[in-house]
Amino acid sequence: MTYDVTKNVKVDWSIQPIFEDVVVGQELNDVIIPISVYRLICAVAATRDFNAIHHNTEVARANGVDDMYAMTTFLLGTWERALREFIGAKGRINKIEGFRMRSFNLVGSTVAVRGRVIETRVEDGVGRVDIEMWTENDGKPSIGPGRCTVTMPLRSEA
Amino acid sequence: MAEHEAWMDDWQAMIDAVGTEFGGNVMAGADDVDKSAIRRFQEPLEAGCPIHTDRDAALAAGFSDIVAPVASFMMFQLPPMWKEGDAPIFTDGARNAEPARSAVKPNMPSIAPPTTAYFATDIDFEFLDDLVLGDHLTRRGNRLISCEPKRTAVGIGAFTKWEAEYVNQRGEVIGKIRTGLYHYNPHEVA
Repeated sequence: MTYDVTKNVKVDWSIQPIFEDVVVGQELNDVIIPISVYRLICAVAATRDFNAIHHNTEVARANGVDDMYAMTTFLLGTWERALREFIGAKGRINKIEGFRMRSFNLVGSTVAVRGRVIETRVEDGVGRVDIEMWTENDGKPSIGPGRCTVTMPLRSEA
Repeated sequence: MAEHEAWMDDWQAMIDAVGTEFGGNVMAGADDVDKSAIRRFQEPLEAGCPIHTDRDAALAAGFSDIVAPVASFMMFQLPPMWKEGDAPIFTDGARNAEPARSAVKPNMPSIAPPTTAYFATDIDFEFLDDLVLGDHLTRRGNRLISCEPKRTAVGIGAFTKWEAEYVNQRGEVIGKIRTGLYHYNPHEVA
């Protein structure tokens, strides 16, 4: 299965999504992430996760894995990107639970981060949204599904 | 439940230690949160929200300053790899030589059996407050939550789960994390 990186949405950050417009079942825009050696090396430098399994094929293979693979901090960042693009600049990310890496996201693969709204509620005057998130690699879940809780501004606050 | 194998007994001390706060694992970030590190963190993600780069945008969104991505907590907690006065860490010219010390390698208690490899398996993260420009992050605590020896496709070892919290320079807890790890000895590569 292939994922088309050109399908990534160009976000207009001047538009602030509003809590009341969110509905259960609503899907987040997919975030498509091709994992090349070049990108992994950038991610290693950016996250400072210098564990050689993330930048050295020989070391990865000696550790029983087919090739170098993406690190936790980067992959968590891909979930944050998908969440942020959904909640806008004024949203807040409160919790990320169940970020379970089921398989290695190897160099040379492309992953898709996906999400779906599973609950909305107003708690103490705050608009909270629970989102089921997962990452797919070759059509199968490679991370999650997890549950993320975010806060979005009410219409009266926006 | 995995079928019991003799090597699993090596992990019994860790299993018995579930619930123990191993502490002593205070990990202070190398630097204050700065624009350059945030920008470099966002580049490979192609994550473009301006609250992470533009102070006016951050203020307009209700933050007190440019705010760090929540995923970057794990980067800003890392101590320096090396600093003035430390013994050298790059002492071997072999192609795949590891540094003598590593800031990212998890500190396992001495009661754990020796393993040569590890990777993270899962995370649960709660964010209680913002990490903004000029803040300094420390990771504090190291409570063992679970330990499960298991043979996997990559080797034999154990899944462990750990609990810690993130504290800013004012001593305020701004995040809590549970991290799962798999420490193992790889199967022999054919």
